[in-house]
Amino acid sequence: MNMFISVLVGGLVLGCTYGMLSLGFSLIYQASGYMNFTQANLLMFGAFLAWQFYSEWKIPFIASMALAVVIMFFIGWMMERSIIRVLVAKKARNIYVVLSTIALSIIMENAAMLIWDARPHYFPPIFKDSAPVKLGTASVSKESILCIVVAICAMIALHFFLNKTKFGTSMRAAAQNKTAASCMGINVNRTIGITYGIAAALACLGGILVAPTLYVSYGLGSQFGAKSFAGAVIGGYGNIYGAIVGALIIGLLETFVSGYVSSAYKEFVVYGVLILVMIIKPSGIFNAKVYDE
Amino acid sequence: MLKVTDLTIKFGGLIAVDSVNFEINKGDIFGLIGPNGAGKTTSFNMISGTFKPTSGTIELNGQRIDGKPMYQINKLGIARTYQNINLFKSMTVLENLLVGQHSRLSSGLPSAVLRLGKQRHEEEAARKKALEILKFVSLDGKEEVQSNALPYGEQRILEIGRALASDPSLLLLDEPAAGMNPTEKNQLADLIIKIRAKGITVLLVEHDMRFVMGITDRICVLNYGKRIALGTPEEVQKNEEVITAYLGGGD
Repeated sequence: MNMFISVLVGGLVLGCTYGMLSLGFSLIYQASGYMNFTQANLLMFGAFLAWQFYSEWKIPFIASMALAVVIMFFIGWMMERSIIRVLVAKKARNIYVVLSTIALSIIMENAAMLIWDARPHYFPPIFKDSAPVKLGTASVSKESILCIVVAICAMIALHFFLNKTKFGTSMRAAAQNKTAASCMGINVNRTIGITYGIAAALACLGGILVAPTLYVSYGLGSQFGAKSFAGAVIGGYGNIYGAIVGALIIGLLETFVSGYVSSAYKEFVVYGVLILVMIIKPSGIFNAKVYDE
Repeated sequence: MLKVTDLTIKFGGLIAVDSVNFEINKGDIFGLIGPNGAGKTTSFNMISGTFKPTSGTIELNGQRIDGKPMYQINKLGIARTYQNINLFKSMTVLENLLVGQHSRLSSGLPSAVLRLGKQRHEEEAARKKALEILKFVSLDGKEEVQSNALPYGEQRILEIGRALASDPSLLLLDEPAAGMNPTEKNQLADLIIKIRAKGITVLLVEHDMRFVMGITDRICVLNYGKRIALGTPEEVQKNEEVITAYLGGGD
């Protein structure tokens, strides 16, 4: 039982972190029709910013987190505005736009290595009292609980933002039908820019929350990128609720396979499931539109 | 209120619209007609901001609007519908009408996030207005239906309702009667006349001649991108060039 709870919590932490990234993948795909491969390195960069503020400059954790999230929002927004929008306006083919995000991602990784060097950095604990929380007989770190709670709050906040606010409604409208939305007075470029900003902010949040359980290094993103993308696909690419469910499935699958079978098989199982989903039910759990009409 | 002067657009070597002039008076129902490929929808698209004219000007109440992006043109008071239905398909009827009010709602991002009192008040007003519009276009009771579940004719009407939600002074209707049965067409004609009675000027592109002749005050006829006639429905019907263009005589 102890093992089950700690594996479950580990899986949720991982799943929530993947979720923060797969939400970004799906949000951006829905809003602009492009895949954005910078997500994982935005997570890494955000984690580094928070490390810099919290560990080096001794800014309180909440403030460090807020600061990093806001900065990453602007980085995401600027990335769309200064690079992706320019390519789209030039009518570049999709593949070039996607390629530019891969290039950006590598640039970001390299920049992080130059700024913070290649060593893994220890992220100090968030809670002064580092005694773990008892769940039944199992003990779980406070950081893990924080990660899950904050991720859930972020998901709920995003849901309300998209469905209950005027701005969120205009974002959904622009994602569904760009022409009609601009005809209704919605500045579609602006909603897309803000979508990139939100995706970057979510990635950053994921990075900060997972940082205390891992070390922060320039390679942090690479362990999350592909699997959160897989999570978005399994959930139904472009559907934000699917992205969360898919990411949780991947996270849980991975930890349960490592815990109960062997960590040697975890990648095998995760990517095996991805391929099976793509063949058997390519529209994912939430029925995304997959085939061209 | 809308003045189109020497409007021209070229696609590569093709001149799709060639030095077209017309002026729409406030409160008119104005028809833009012509055979297929005459440049009606292209002219329409320039007025609503989808295309930028190669040359010529479009003025709304004396203000140049040509070349402005669509979302700004909507804010200036022009709303439109599309030949192919362009609803937000997976949103409800009500949500479509709320998005339609986008440019008339003021609360920005900060107040949306903070859920200030003003925002709540505005949301309430927006909802009320959406329901009023539904009543006006006779779609009341359907506010929670997902828009692509409506029958075809009602989807077209909803698109008009959504355009009305932005409080336009000029409403552009691109073939509103396309695909409608005679009963639906009569209802549509009544609706357009009701819209005019609210003080909204209407510009309409239409293929159905009886429909156009029955409700418009003035008509501009295009053929191969050029204006061949302008006047009241009676005048236009008598015009030799129009008759030739439609009946395909000549050669």
